[in-house]
Amino acid sequence: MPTEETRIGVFVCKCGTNIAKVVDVPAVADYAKNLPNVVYSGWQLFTCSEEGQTIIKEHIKKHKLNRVIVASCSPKLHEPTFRRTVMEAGINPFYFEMANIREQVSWAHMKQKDEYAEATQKAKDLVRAAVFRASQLESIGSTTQTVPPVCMIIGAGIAGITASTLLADNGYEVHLVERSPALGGKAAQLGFVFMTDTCGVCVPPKHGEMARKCLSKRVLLNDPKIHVYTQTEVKQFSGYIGNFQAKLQTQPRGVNINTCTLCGKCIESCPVEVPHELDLGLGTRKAIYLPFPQAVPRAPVIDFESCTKCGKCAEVCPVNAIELNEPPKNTDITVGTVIVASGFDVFKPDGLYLYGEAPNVLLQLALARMMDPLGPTNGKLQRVSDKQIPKHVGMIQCVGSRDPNYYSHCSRVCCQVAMKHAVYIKEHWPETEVTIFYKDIRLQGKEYERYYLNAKKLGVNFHRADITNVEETTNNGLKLAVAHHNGSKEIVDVDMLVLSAAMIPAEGAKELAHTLNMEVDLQGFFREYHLKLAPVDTATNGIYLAGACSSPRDIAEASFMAAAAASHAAIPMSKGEVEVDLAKSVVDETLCIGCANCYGVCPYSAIQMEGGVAKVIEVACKGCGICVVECPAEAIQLRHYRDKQIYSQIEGLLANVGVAKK
Amino acid sequence: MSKANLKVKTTPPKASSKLTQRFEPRIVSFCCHYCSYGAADLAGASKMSYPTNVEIIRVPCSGRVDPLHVLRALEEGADGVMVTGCLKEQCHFVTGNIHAEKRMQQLMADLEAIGLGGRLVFELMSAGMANKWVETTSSFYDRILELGPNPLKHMKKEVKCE
Repeated sequence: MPTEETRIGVFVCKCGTNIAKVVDVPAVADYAKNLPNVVYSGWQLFTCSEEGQTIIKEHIKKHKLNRVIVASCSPKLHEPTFRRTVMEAGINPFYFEMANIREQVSWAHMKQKDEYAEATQKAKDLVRAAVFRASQLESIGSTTQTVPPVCMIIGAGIAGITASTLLADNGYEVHLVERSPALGGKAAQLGFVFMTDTCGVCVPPKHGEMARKCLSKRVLLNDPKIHVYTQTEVKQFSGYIGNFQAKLQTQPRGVNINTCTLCGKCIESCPVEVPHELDLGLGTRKAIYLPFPQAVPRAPVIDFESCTKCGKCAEVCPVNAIELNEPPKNTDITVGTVIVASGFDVFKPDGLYLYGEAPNVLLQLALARMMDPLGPTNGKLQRVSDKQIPKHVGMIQCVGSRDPNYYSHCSRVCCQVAMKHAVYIKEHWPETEVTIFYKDIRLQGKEYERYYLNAKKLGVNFHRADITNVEETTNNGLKLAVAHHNGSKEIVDVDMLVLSAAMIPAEGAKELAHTLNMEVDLQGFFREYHLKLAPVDTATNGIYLAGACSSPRDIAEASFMAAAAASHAAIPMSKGEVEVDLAKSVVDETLCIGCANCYGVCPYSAIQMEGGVAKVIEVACKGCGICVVECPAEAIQLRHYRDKQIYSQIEGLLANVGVAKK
Repeated sequence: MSKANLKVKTTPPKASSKLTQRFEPRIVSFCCHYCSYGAADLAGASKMSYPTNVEIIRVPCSGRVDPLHVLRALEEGADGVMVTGCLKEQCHFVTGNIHAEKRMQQLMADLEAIGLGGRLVFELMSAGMANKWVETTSSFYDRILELGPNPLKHMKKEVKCE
């Protein structure tokens, strides 16, 4: 609309006192009145409030505004809000512009009282830049993209399985991709978990069902809507919401899960014995093995790294289920949405507190395996070195967590885990003394306090202390140098030491993030779109997060989050389509010289060369603008960030610089 | 003005400055929406202080910043320009920051050749690295104070807005 007169409205927000305390808001609003094309300028107490938005709409009508500028907080927070506001008043959302005078002005310069005048000047500069830019903005439309009712879920732990069953129950098709040979994740490997002290994947019956059941078993066996891929990783990934393309690579299992009867003869016959990774050095397994007794799929798996291919298992198998020379399998799938539920790993504190050096120093996870009735010691508490029941078990909290040298976060579950294990030990082996060395005890929620009270009642010792040194004694016991936080020091002898190590992002999470083109935070956890308001969404539309892949969580929280992720993923799938704005690259075919530079740099393959000129696939384009800079003919531009728009913003920002400055 | 808590060197401004009595640099920073803009937001939200002189232009990706944008900012009288993006391998747009680095390094060499050396800085940070935002802006501010005003300011003919 080139003939239309540009009429800009500027709304400066006080944000209560958040902005007004530092910036002279009425002065900024007055200043904006004299800027080019501004026909209205005023201030409000809370522009984002219902009332504030109504006032914007009223002024749009009254002054016939066709561009709106709000000077308030970060556009990362309220740009979507105000775009909706102006849209409701009949203005294209891309005619809205924001000046960030809270995060970048008032808050950043709050501490220096003598800078308040400069902060006001900076706010004026930013408003002026927004006004200059607003004059160059263009109206941008949108297109729709169909979203098929198919979701890929990465990771089959508690979160992945819960999300799968919920989506399948709602009628969506699910591709559940799991890297390990068995479903259930970490929880399935634990004999009993808080808060119910039952098995990690045991779920109560639903209405109309008679018995409790195993969550992972149900997923595999009962649901035609769920396609399960074990030993499978996402090798390549591309596309956009509604049209994500994934290349899955499945490693050979070596055993046909459809014919195997789980008679166990192959496991008996296997001559190779290696340490069982699941039992963290406590037990061994054969090269053909069942990962854990309740493992689903219900068939052994061959570890081809240690297998010698002697063929004994194939000889004894009564149903010819063994396939020693199976090649890896590739599967291509197209899905509408993706849920990442890749879970966590436990920090391996090599070199700390003699872990990995002294046999009787182990992780809480290994202790949990030991206490599993189906675990390596059949549920018995015993020292690794001599298989005797320990007389004194020490537990050290916050190993690797809340530690600036390793991970700064609190792992949330370690206090509960230590409490659960301490209580279990005291209940079953009352003569064994248990001492917990902690920095702080953090047990929130309605169920956890009872573990603490119970532990105290049963005589568990709690010492708020740091362990400054650990030495191994002659009988494989451990001598701890304890520095209490109250200043006193002592030496404590224990004969088993259990470390509550940090929950950290799963091994390979970074590579997965790279494959999916997603962001991770400083610790390596997947980054949520907004910590508070959009914790299951991500920066990529159509990809959602569930479980401990974005932060340490317990089973209950992972379940909540999986339910939330499933419902978020269901939104575009139930609508069947999403609206995609066209703030994307656009080619002027009359200028394009067909050099294909843009085609070469596009990370999303969103540019195709057709008939000697470049063409942008708008749904695939993500609007980064890398291609624009590369174009030698200025033929390709990014809508909403065109060169002329950026130039006018620069010009506006620096419009008061020069010789005549007072 | 006091910036004692910022470890800003108290080098006296160059006496040769003809523009103003006391030289207060104007610094334009191009920030990518996903990382460095977030870092600047976080610095503000955490009430961390950095020089008021740094003003941000938001772009979707550091890969959108054209060397011509930087030159335009210098032409319009900016004393220094910052181009900031996501950490390596964490670019929201996969390779935008890599392209940006290549382009800006070339531009830095060109600026050096025309006597505007040191007035451009390229830094990568994640949205969580508010500290790095504060360090980068503070040290760049120091550097510009030492370099003195952008000589192109004299050539700017008109002041478009007071």
